[in-house]
Amino acid sequence: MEVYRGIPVYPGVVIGPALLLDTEGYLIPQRSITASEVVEEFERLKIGIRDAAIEVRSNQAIIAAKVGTQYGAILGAHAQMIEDPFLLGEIESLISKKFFTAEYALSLVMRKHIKEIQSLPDARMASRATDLFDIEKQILGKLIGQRKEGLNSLNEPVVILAHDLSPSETAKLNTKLVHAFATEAGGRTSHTSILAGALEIPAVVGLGKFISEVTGGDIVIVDGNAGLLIIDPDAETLRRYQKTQTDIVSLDASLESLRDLPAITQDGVEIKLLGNIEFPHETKHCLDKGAQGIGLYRTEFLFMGKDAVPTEDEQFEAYKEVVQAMGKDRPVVIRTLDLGGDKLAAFSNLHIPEKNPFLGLRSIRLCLRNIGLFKTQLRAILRASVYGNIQLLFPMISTVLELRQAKMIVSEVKEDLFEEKVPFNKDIPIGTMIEVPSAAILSELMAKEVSFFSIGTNGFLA
Amino acid sequence: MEDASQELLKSVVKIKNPNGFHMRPKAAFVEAASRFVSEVKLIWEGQVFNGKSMFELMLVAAGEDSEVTLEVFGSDSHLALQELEKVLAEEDVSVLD
Repeated sequence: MEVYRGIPVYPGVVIGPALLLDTEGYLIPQRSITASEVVEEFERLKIGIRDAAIEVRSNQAIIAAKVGTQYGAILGAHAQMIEDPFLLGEIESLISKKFFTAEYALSLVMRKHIKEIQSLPDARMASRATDLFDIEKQILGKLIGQRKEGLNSLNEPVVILAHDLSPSETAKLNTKLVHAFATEAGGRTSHTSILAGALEIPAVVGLGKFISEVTGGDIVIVDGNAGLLIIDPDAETLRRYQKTQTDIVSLDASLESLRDLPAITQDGVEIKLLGNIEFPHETKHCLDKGAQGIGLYRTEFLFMGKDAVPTEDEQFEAYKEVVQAMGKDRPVVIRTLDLGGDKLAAFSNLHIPEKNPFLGLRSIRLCLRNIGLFKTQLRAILRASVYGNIQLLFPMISTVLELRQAKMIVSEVKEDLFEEKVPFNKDIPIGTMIEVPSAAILSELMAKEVSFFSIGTNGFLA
Repeated sequence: MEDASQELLKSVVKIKNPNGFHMRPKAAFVEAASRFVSEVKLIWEGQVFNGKSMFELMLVAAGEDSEVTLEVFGSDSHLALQELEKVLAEEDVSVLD
């Protein structure tokens, strides 16, 4: 059993067979065969090895002719490893004794050799493990080619393990069968993490190196609550997590029964329960859970990881989608951009290195220094305001002057829209975040300027 | 294999290659060893490795000037030993591995 600690990005616990997704997308979806299939599996293995060796040797010839025999010889060594009769023997013995598929047995054997090589004291020799990964890939490619399996032909629930997942790979995951994922790379705000949240599957990222410790088909646990990946759990751990899983299911069920009950305190005060979102499509999840509106729509995710600032229309479409999904009555609080310039590739030219960017030129301060950017977002929000009940929220306000400046810009944008005869809600409620100490102290003065407060408590807990 | 000529032959060989016993000399060694019916073993730092398995030889991290012991056993052991000593002694000065 190996336990890795990473960054939890979506909660929940999943226990399932690992499916390794490397950069070339080779997967080992199936790990067992029946006793009657052993001979057939031997045959598949031999063909796979033969074909891989043929391909490597032909590459050897090409490279030797192009750049010299000594380069080609590297591939010659690869071919020799592929054809190593002892490798074949080891794999066959796993197939016949444990009824593993050729792919899984190959992977297990290669993992063992890779570990041995990586543990060599000579760093240069140890780095030859890369060659073994390459060899494994060569043979796997041939074996899997025979079966033509891939992410699209999954037939049982799996946990995806990868060094990293691109946002597009993540987006394409079939969540009916991909129940969780864990990656070596990535951070909380990487796109992959954000997508995990949107797909609602437990995920842990930033785990550091673990791929060489796991073989496709191994049982793993992804603990999206604690941010753990557990490879090959022992019986006790497995039992504990199975219990956690049933607890979560019954908790979900009990919460489900509360869904439509009114949220009223014992002395009769009704409290509105609203959901927080990062992406428009999450609106549906909120409605499913009975949210009475969106309490905070963090718009910065529209801006992240893009080469250019999203256009007014792109922003408008996103805001409109949310507000239309929520309907005319449910409030949607849209918070303006709350990011530092360091997070925006499109601003790399504007970005001034700072000692502590968290307290520096970010959020509303960045917007007030980049009026064009701010006005574009305000125009998009105001245009969307005719479709429902949008409320506008400013982040990180620390002085009354700042708040008044921000409001003044809203007025200017309203005037522009009015002149252009573009419809918007002229009475759009404006609120401010109370998230820095000065705003808390000035809250009495701030209250005279706005329709509502949103209190960001985590800034006060330092 | 009741051949009377069968005997266990041993030889200690010094690695002359400036890059040590790296991947290409290993590949050449395995290729040569596989041409003989004799069993070929390579002993390095007390560990015994099968001379016909590239995978096993990958674990031999013998650097320049270190010594490895060759053990050959089988009907063509004399010829095999001669040939393999030659392969091991070959100086490959290229920096590739």
